[in-house]
Amino acid sequence: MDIVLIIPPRIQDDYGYTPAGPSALSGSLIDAGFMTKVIDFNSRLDGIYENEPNILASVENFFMYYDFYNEGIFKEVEKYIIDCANEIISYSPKWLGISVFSYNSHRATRLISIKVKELAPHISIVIGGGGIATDFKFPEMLKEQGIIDAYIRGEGELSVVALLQGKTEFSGLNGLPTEQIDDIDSLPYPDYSDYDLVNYTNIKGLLAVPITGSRGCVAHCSFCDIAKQWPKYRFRSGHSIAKEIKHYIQTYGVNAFRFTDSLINGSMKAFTDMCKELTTIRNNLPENEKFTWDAHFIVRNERAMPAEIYDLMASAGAGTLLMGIESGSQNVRDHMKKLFNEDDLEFTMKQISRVGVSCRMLMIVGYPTETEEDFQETVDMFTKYQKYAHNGTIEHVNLGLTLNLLPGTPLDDNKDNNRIVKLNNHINDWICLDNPTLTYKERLKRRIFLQKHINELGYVVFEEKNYRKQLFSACLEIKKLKNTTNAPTTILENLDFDFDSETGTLINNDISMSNNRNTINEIDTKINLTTIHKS
Amino acid sequence: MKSTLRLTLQPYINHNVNEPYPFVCIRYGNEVVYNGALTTKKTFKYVIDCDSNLVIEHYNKQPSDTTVNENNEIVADKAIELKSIMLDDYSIPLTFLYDCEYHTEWNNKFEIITNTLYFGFNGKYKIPILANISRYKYYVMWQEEKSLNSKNQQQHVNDLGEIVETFTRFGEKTNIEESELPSITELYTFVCKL
Repeated sequence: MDIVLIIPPRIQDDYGYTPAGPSALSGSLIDAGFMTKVIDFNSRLDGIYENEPNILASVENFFMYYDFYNEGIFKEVEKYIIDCANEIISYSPKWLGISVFSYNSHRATRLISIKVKELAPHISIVIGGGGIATDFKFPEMLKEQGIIDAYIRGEGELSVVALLQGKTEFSGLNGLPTEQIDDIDSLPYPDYSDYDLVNYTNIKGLLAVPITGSRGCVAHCSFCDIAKQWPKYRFRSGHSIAKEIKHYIQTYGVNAFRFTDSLINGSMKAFTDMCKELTTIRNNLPENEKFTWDAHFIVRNERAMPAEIYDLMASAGAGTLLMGIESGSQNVRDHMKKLFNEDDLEFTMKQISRVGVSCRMLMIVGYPTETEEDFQETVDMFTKYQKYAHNGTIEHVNLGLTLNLLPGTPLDDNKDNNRIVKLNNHINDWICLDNPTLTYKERLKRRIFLQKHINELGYVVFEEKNYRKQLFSACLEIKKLKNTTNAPTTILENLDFDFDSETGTLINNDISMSNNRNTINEIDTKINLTTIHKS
Repeated sequence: MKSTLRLTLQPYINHNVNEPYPFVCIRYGNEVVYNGALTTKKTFKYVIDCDSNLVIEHYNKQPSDTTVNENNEIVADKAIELKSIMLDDYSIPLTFLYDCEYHTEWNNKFEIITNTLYFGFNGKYKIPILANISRYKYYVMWQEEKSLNSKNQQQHVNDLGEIVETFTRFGEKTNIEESELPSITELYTFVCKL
């Protein structure tokens, strides 16, 4: 065996989607003549603790929080990690590849690597994935400590093949600059043969596998880091995607697909071609074998995407469209650089409802420029579209948490121009000087209010329990952040403010500001400012 | 693969008895590589294949080899202390050595003791010698993680007087199971009060 590719705990979602990354790498490695095995140690955890939800919750907490310590739970974790390590070693691989999905997989990645190295030090370990895309320290630290042997950033298909071929100088390897793969049509199909696909169903309970039609995005939304990760938008031909879908139907008997793309309708030509071909394939299948697909989708105007395309999309098997609406306020959407207006949204909602396609609305609460009025427009939008929730067109609403200032996003890169100050060096705790009452607490308050409101309107909130858990954590986090004092100092040092203790106001001496005297009524901000004054 | 093993032992000597020095037998696998009295601190050097257990046996000690004063406090004793083990240039971590078992036999009682490198009873201390030296490093990393989980675990007495296991998340004590979540309405009340 050349390489065992694994998915470590913990990826938390309400639906056990088939992980795409390791299968994509496996497909490329097999094509290059290597022998691979893919194991999903994340989803297996759910099976082990199926009847012990409390232990599962503790084990999840262990993996997701570095400050979680407990002897009893460590014993559970230790047993699991040793089982994982022994299973990996039983294949006698030369390499172990770990797909690090997010920060929540860091602790398991470290522990599995240590255990494999302890039991079988001859096995080399490489890690990659979204969980190390923006966190540069984690893989470098593991490599420095000898826990891993290599790491890959960016698209891994070519880099992992190069690594196994013994090349050390290749794009994305061990901190070398990444290069995009221009011709993604030329990549081999991901290999899902190691998964027991009956364990992976989509939200509607259908056997589903991921598929990739494009990488990158045509839009450059201010809050998104996709353009930084993948500067160039690349898409496959509609014919090629349809061919791959046909391959999965024949090979695995699946009847649902989840596009991993940032958007399915980036190239209207490729999208239309694909829909035509998929329609032909579906028309030749018996009714009970007709497949569906879900995909991210951007709202376009009627001219770019006329009504007949919606009919075509429906006949091609469109199931759920994940649409980044983000806000009910046009002002906010304009600042975000979303490329649609209220008329376009109304047209889209009407069309998908007409053709029987559903959608999941993706929202962002607490955008830096979001005023009380803007937020009210979001609230009103949900009231307006309530009928679509009731007729099933809006299947879910994904409210996310509140806006994170992610590194690599235009918002974060242009913090100064956007007059945003990051507090406590924390992605959630920031303030926009042009909208200073929108504190972290205020954002969270709006976010929780919106969930409460749309619940009452009859919408289904996506991953409701998971988000409620995260919101609760965020509330606790605010309590902690309130006690810190370094943030206001940063404001003062960088932005020339004075504090008037008599009136409780913040006086800005920066003449470039539109108002040179901002009254801060929000109580949290007052607390911070008082702290500055005292210090 | 062959490695050079360096084993340093320190004797504890009782000059109040006829035979003041402790006796040690060192075995590597089935082979006895040293057998005799340990009269001074000594480093034994062997070239080994790293495929067997190393056993350090303290033997021939009598109860009378321990001298006590009128308060029954030990004033002189015969014993052996393991000071260090090196494989090539790598010192086997103490954490690893403390985990190894010391099988004692004293007054016809048999016991297995860990967490000691002071061999005051007759008995056999057994060290598995790992083929790949770097394994010790990962073993220690794992033990450190285990130890952190033991040292840093927290408990909290809840309103019902029950002891609840907790962990600190964002500065707050949180139930490790955290199965009870506030409803969205409760959360809204909570955030408004912050």
